[in-house]
Amino acid sequence: MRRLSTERLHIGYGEKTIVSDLTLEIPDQKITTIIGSNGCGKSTLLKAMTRIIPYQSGSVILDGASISREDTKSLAKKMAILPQNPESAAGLTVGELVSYGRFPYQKGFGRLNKKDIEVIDWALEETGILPFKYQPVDALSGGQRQRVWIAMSLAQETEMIFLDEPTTYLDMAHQLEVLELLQKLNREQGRTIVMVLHDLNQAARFADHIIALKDGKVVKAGSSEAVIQREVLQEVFKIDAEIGKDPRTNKPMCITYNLLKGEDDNEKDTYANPALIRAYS
Amino acid sequence: MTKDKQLTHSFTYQIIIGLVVLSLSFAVAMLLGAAETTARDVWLALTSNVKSESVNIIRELRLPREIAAILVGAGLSVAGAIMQGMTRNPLADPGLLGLTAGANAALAVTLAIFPTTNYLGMTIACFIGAGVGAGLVFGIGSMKRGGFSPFRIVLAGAAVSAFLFAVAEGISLTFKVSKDVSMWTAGGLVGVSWTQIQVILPFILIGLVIAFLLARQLTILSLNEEVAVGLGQKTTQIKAILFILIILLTGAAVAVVGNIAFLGLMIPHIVRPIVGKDYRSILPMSAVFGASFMLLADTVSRTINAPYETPVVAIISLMGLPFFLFIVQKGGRSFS
Repeated sequence: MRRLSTERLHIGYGEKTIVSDLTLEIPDQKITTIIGSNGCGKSTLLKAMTRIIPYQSGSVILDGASISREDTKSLAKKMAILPQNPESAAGLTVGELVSYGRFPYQKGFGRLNKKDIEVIDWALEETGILPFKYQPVDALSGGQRQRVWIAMSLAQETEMIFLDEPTTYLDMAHQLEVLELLQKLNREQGRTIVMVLHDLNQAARFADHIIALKDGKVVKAGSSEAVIQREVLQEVFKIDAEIGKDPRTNKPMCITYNLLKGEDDNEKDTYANPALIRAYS
Repeated sequence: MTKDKQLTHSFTYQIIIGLVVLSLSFAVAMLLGAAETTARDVWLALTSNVKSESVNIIRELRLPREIAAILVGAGLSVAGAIMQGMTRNPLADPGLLGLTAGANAALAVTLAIFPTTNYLGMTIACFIGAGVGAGLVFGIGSMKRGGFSPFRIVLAGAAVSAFLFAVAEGISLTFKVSKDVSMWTAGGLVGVSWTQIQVILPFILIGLVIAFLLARQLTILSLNEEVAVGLGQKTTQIKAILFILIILLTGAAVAVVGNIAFLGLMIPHIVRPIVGKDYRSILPMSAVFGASFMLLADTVSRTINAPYETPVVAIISLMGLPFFLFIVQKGGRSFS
């Protein structure tokens, strides 16, 4: 039994359905990435699993109980979420922002106790931003800022960390830095990491488990080798991809790709091949 | 952790300095005025039962007035800071976002229909009016998807305020209560009585205390709503409580001074560079600075053209408008 799973989950805004009838499991202590084209419901799914947004029916189950019934503070001790580009830290210093990771553990005025201060310093140390502790977050580079937010979720001391496109707007080196930091947190401390990523090769390289979504449905879920396949990418992104092997990591990678011929964005349905969905789900 | 200690110490020193400034402002406000008074009169008024003309002036006119200045200044500044944090909008201010105009209209309606309403009733009318005004502004501001941009809210505030002032004006003229209404709304701190203080004191004190207790919640809310939920905040509840606090603080303040804009906008912006960006420091410091500022502004209004009063509202607006333009020019986004 996995700790976190969804059952027949249905999420929508008003009339519009984003995710419907979605059942999946998140493997414990592994890195899971969710991939899919724009608007396929990846971020929505991530937000619903972390109760940032409500879902209409079905359930998200954590440790045997639905999260909608759990107290938000006790949930915040189990899962941390990093939203997509949290725009500004409103001028807080690195130390101040990270200290708010202790929020779920505090009461009243929120004076930090000895344990809180230790955890905060540990989080700063782990993410390599201790030297910037007294600097305003907004003065740091994009990569450093992202590490500050990760440090905040570390200070939350949760076993699960959810991230929505943690590498957006970062240059190649900083993207890798963030992903390696997450990998380290997973390997050394056994934290379950769930993230939405746009870059297929990064997903393939860092994930133990990939979930490919299309129109709010799982097309394929499994290891990198199982998911990063020509047919799956055709179905999910409508691309014709050439899959090879990363010579350094031995993980599958998309070497080059073209748009599928004769496909038009306006004619989504023409490509929703039911046989394929059955074959890969 | 010596530097952490230093940081908390530095806030303690800052707030002590702030309280010293507040005490000095209070002393200045008590000493200066149209009537000739001496430090000895002030001392006697505060500490003894001596009755003489100048002592009575201080005890019955100046003292309640300056206490009202402290309450109003603290209340409006903290309300402004809460609004700025909650809406992540550096231009937020109770006067600019329709609360003052709403309270104003409610006063006109009450005076027209129930002219004998007592002071508590008037204060409650102000709460309701402030709530309606804010509700309208936020309703209009969020009608369009992706609403709540700083400028759109300010525009909605201007439109709603103009509408509500027109309503107040119309009612005042129709029911021939213009004079009464303007006594309330343009009177500033003239003729504040101990009775008025007794009515608004509990509202403002309770409002301030709860605001200070929720400062931590306000800081994470000011970052990003998703971050706040992720950290375990019951966002809807907290926002509702903060909204009520804003209405309590603004409504009580308007019940005393009438229309004042810009104070709630200015003070938090003056305070931020000194104490940093955490609302646990911003709120108490805004209260202290807002109170001092209001004391000094009122002293200027009483003395600049004595024995005539210059409306304190005018003095604050004169200082506030350039400030507003300065923030707009900085892009309306920046909080630093």
